[in-house]
Amino acid sequence: MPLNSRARPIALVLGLLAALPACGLHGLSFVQDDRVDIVRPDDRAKVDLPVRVSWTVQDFAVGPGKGSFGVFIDRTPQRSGKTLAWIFRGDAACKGTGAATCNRLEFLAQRNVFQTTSRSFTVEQVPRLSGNQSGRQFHEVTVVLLDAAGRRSGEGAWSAQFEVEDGT
Amino acid sequence: MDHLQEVHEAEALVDEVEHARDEVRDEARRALGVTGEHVGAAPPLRQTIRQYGLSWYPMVALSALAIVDTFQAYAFAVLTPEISRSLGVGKGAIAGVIALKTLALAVAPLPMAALAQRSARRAVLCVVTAVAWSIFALSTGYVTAIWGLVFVLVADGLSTGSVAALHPSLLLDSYPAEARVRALSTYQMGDRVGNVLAPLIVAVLATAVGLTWRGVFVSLGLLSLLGALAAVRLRDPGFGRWDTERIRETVRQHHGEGMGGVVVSEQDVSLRFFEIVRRVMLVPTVRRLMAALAVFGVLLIPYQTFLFFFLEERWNLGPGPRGLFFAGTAAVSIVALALFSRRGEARFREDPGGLVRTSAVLLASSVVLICLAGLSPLFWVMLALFATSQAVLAILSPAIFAVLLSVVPAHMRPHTAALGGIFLGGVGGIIGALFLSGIDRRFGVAGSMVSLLVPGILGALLLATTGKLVPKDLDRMIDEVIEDEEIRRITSSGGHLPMLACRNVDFSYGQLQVLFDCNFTVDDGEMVALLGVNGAGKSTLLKVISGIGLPSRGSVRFRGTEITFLDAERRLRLGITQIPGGRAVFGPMTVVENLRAFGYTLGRDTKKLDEAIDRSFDAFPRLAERRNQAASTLSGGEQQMLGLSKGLILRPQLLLIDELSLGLAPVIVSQLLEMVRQINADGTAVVLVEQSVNIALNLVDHAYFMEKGEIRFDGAARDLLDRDDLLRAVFLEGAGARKT
Repeated sequence: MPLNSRARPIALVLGLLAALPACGLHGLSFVQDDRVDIVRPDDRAKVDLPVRVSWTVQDFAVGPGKGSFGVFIDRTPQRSGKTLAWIFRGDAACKGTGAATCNRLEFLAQRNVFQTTSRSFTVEQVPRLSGNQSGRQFHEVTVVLLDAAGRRSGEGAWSAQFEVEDGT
Repeated sequence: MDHLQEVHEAEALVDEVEHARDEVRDEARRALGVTGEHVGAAPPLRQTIRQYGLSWYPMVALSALAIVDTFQAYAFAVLTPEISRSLGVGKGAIAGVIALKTLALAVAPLPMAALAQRSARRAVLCVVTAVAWSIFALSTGYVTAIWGLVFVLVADGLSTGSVAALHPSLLLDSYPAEARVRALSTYQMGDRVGNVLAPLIVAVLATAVGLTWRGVFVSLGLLSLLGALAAVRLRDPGFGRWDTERIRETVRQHHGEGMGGVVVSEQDVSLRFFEIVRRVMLVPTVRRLMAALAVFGVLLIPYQTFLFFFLEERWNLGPGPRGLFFAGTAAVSIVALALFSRRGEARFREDPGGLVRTSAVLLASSVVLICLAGLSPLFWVMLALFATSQAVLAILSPAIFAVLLSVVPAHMRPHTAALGGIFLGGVGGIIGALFLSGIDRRFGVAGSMVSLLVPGILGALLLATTGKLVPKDLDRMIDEVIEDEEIRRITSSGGHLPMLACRNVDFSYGQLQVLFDCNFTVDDGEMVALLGVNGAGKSTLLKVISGIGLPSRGSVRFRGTEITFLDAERRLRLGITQIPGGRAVFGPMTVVENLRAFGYTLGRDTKKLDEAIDRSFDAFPRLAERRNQAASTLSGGEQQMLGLSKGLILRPQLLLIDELSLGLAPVIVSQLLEMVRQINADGTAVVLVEQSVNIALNLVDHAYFMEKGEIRFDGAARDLLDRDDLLRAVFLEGAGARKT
């Protein structure tokens, strides 16, 4: 049943107040970011493992003390301004003293999250996807830009899908 | 004049209403465009619009709103991966947000219907909600976290509830009844234009213009706002302008009254929200069509999703080609709707039930086409089969909704349309998702497509069996309006109508019908006996009068006002009180607490209630002695005294007493009957349900006799004593003795 006339505006205001922190005006990208272009593999291509993923980049400095790339296999990247470890903030292992562990590249790699300064990356293995095993299953590699502190730079994310020949 | 004669004269007026109803019904049906004549195709809609001097504006404005409504939903479906990557939100969370939005979308039409029921303000609601969803679409572009996404999507889902609930009903009141199938078809074409435009606009914005998902949502929000602003001149023509008012006009013309003779009635919006929902669901056609829509939803809602996967897995189509596929099939649907609208209208005019049967054939055909498409080894054949099946499915909506909305009174259409949306998308969609995902896991996506045969054929069967219900329900709707108009005519010309008039009442407990075509009348100040053997239907008739039970057919009028579907609680406030059979008290409560409970409807007027309780204690001193005793500890007679006190406390206009004397000593019975006489003498009309003929006929002048759910006798109590055929041995020991 609809709320009574007094409760209705209160509910609306409360809803708006709750939603406000989840909205913003700064640092949002309304136009596509073309600094990265994934050149291999072709989108939705059928590949054999290991598969080499390579990309080109412009207007972004990469190297020690500069930027790097975050590479994700079948994972959603962190949001803008956050480090790679942010993705695992909910893991019990990453709470308290474990925070340092979660920043380690080995820890991240075990979870299909990688950091590199190279313009290519070799995918050795892919996670088994849930869902219908008899149907086609596409894996997805996503690349984001990280600043010198390891935080995601901007909202741009570039991805390509590929299908593994043996159906993994 | 003899009182019974007065009652019969009042009854005669009610009979006059029935006769007028029978005479006018055919004419009224024709006024609604149901001519029964076979014609190949109705004239083009533009001809009808020109003929009545109407405007295309309501159609264009509502179609524009339907088009922009599709934008955000489509954009979100297509851009989900980008949103997920940008916000750092996993696919599971996004799926959860979509589920919440779907839930909001499913429930939102009902509050929309509730907002529109008190006054005809559908146009304002349509525009306001369109502005709201435009703002929410625009705000989606500024979301930075999952909670923002939840808020904008749920708010969007809630605001778009107006489309399902209000658009069809507003459309039906904006164009003549004989154009309703064409109007709904043309509106559906607009909706399909949205399905063609949405992928194209999103593709252009995302690729050619180079906007991110944020830019796309901001652009779509602005476009949607333009659509909403284009609809600001939309006006609500009032409920039933082209049907209810036409029927009323037919009645007036039947009596040779001019347009100005009787004031055009105000909209009958006296039923409240849930009463309307309940009343609508009592219409057999509505019930059957809701079931068919739920089954149709099992087919339709997951089908769209599975088609995405099917095209990807079987034909390796990426997002772009898939968008083109859906835009192309939507374009074919537009052509199908254009071809169907005039033929569908002609079918509706000839036989509205026939249109539902045609829909059944179309539904069965479409699932066969889907199966063939799922199995086709050739791409172009698959494409042609899917496009044809989509086109056939598209024309089902105007066909089914034209019938669904025609068999209910105009002011209940928003509720009916909302319920239709809930059964289709909510009930059917959820069941369908579970059904198809199970099949997908076992047989793959092509197997899922083939499995759609099951709900498709079941839905077609349900539709086919609905056809025969439609003419009766359409006539019933027409009859209600005619009756209402006749009653208004009689009351405005000073005619005296009985206090209570039940007409042609049928009642069933589930599949078991217990009342058959019952007519029952009580006039002011009357004391009426309702007699019959155990199981004759006396108590059930009382339930129908007091509102505890709702009839499957017929009407209950109180002082001329239709109260058939009013809640029992509201009838109590009108002045109808029932004292149930047996011990009509709350056992664990004390005597005083029981009396206070009876006086609940007196509200906070404690002084009045205390006076009423004192009145009861004066009438029944034994109750005063036991005022703090639990009711369950009273004797049978005392409990009946307590029950009867309800009549003293509420002082109703009509008191229904069920089996007052059952199992009580004669001395107690006479004491109670004396009190009933007193209540009646104070001006309350009383209906006394009794198995004891002796007791009843000693009290009343007017009696009814029921047998096997039918009223077998209506007349003077003394005349009943002469009816040996009715008063059989088991029943008339005392009566027979008295007579002799």
